[in-house]
Amino acid sequence: MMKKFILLLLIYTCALLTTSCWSRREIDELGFVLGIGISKTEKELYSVVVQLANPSAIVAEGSPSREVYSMISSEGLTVFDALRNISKISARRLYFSHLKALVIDESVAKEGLTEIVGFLVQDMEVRLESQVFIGRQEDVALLLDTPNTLGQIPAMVLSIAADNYGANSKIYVSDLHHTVEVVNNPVHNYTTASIITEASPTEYEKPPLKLTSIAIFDHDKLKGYLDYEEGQGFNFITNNFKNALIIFERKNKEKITIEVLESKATITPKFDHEKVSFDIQLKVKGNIAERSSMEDGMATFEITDIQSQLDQVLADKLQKSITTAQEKFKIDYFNLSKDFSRKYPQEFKVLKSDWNKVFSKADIHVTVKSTVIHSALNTNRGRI
Amino acid sequence: MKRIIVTISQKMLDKKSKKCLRHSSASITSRSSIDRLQVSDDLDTNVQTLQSSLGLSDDIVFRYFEIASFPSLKATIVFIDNLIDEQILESSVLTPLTQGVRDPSSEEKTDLHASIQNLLQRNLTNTHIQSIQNISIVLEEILKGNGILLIDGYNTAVSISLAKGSPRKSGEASTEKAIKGPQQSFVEDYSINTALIRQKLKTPDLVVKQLQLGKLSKTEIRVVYLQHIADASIVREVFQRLSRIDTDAIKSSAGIEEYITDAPMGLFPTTFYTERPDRLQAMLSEGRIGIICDGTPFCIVVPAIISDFFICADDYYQNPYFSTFNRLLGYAGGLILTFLPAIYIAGTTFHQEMIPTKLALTIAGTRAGVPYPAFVEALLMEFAFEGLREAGTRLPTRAGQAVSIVGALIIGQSAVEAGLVSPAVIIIVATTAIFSFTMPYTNFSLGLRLVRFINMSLAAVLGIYGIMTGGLILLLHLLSLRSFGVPFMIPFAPLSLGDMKDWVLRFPQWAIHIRSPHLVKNNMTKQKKV
Repeated sequence: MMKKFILLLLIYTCALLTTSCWSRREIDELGFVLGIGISKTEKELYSVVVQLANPSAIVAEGSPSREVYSMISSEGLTVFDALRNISKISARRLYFSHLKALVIDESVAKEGLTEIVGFLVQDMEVRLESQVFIGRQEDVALLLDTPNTLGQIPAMVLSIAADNYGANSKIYVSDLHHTVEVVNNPVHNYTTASIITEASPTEYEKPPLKLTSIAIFDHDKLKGYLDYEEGQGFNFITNNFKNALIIFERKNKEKITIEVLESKATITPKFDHEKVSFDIQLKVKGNIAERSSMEDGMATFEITDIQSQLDQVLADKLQKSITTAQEKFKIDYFNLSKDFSRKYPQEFKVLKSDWNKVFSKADIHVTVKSTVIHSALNTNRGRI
Repeated sequence: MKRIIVTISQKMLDKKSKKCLRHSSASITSRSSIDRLQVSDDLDTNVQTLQSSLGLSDDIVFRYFEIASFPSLKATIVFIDNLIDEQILESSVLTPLTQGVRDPSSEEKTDLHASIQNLLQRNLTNTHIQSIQNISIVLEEILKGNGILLIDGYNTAVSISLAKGSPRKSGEASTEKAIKGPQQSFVEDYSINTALIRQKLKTPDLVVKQLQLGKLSKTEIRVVYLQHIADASIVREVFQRLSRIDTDAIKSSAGIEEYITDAPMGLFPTTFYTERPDRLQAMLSEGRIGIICDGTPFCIVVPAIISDFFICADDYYQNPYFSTFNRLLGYAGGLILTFLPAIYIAGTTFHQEMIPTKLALTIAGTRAGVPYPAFVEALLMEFAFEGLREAGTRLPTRAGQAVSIVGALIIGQSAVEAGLVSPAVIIIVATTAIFSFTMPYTNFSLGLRLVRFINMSLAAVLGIYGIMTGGLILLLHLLSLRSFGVPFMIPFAPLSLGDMKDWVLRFPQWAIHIRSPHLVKNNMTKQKKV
């Protein structure tokens, strides 16, 4: 009996001591880092600015909008070093698990992301769901320090806006997980959204942050930006297009707005006589969300006309995006290499090293099949 | 005399129950043979027949007397103790028949039959008298609370209405309130309690056995069960455990519970108690065994399972959907009570990444300035609540109100305003408190309330890992419990989907056809499938 008891006690003690769970810290002693901005100084040091939430201001009633967060910056040889240097300043222990936005300065992005991402992945605290942005302005700190009258922390604003990208589908935001995946694979090319501050609409309002065009990378080095139409084409091909609008004009100057409900692109790679080609088949379902008729009285139209025109508009969008990729940037930012490598793994091994060149010479054929399910739901069938 | 009868009938019972175990249909055939049986003209035969059907129970009274006619006639009146009014019995039956019988004239004596009828008509002063030939009807009349007069040489039984109506002193249920159901409850007097059950189950199968416990207190104990439904081996075990009690005084039924429970050192009860006759009626028909203790208005029920503590008598008087919701709420309440404060502590001190960002910031904001760790904070508030609850329970009602005002104002509001505790902890403690009252029977939730403190300490040291450890130990303990050989955790383990119909959810009454195979070995069918 006694022996059994001692044995049990031993087992319990071992079980309790081998947990490696000794990292007890009170929630109110943590500095919640919601945003990180990374840039480089003239002396080639990394300059890191962190955006800390100020919980007591968040809970307090009617606190000024600037008080819900505070910014701390520091410099260091690496990103991690810079963050550790912050502990010399910070009143609280930095806590990265709730990191929402990582803003990387344009100039740093041009040099490559590999060096920066390393720390964020290797540190166990950072979660891979935080989103990555490219700052297109001089100072990343100023970009993050954009208070708003709603009392939201700028990093949260970025994260909310990024979650809603589907409403326009003109941009695309990568999370840290995707970033790491791309950076670790030499063939893949990275894309993510860039941010700028806009002029404030009125003098009373503060200048807001804005997600703008998609940044294009050659693997991990920033090369350029897409315009909105190319951005939509990019989202169609990579199956990231959500419920955004397509607007076009008919022959009679009537403007039609189509709200896309479903979109599915099927990419079929081909390898024939040493020549790489792709078949992109896009199937789109949508409805007529808005129609501004120029005619008086009842104006009817054939839905098939609208569909065929929509086909054409979408094909043009896709074509434009592909042309930009092949001719302007010569970068496969759609990552068509994924589809190709899955179908022709052996051939891909040979082509891998020079894939961007292969891609820009590839023959890409686009077919679009769209369906307009219904017009807007009022009795005038979309007319006012 | 009574003792002898009891011993004889006990032997008969033993034979009978053995037969029952061998052959489940045996009871049914014996029952139908009684249906056809007629009252014979031999008094002894009649008495024996009745004893074999009812004699297992100790509350059946056979009162032998002689009718003071000439020549005197041997007679017996059979009735159930406490179902009849003894004063009526004395004044309208015994006194007239044993003293000063107005004798029929001598010429009528030649026809015995006519003369007895005459005699009864002249002497019995009761309003309702009925002659019965069939034994099964005789049994029915006895169980209804009427007296049966058997006279030697007379092949007709006479049913005399002696019933008391509803027992005078049944109380009103105070701990197990029902909105729509009966408001009756057990009282301190064990014989009234037995009568309450007799009235709810008018079957000769209902066995009432009497015991005496306590060398000094000589407390009367009555064990009630349904003979052909309750598992004979469990019944035997109950008697064995009761007979092993060797103490000087039994203070209340709770004392007996402690002696007969399967896990005397365990945190959780493996016996159930109820103060409602309708609940006991339902549980007896499920095959349970009730133990009525003189002096306590609570009846012990064994074997108990975990679901009993989550079932509330009112469930059966309400809409099944709502009752099901209520029941699930009770189970959820048990989990919340055991784990919520622990999860709060683990979340705020170890796993801040698991809390959604906005909630984390809000908690951090409200906790800013609180001078001690979340564990101490939660522990303080839980202790404060337990103290408040205890004070509220013990004090008289009016003083109790004062305590709750002090608690709500001083501990609740002022502590938060002074920045000694955070509002989040108040919410956690309040939620725990509310859910600790959703379980209708407190003796199970008492165990969980203690486990809560263990879980909180484990969470403070080890986070979620600690909670998992605590939960696992709790689960293993509960799974190892047995109540009189029946697994305590049914219907969850062993998983019994059929039993969940009534014990976890609340199916309509007509949808439950069979009794639980864990409790009953024969006579499984409750009702035919419609």
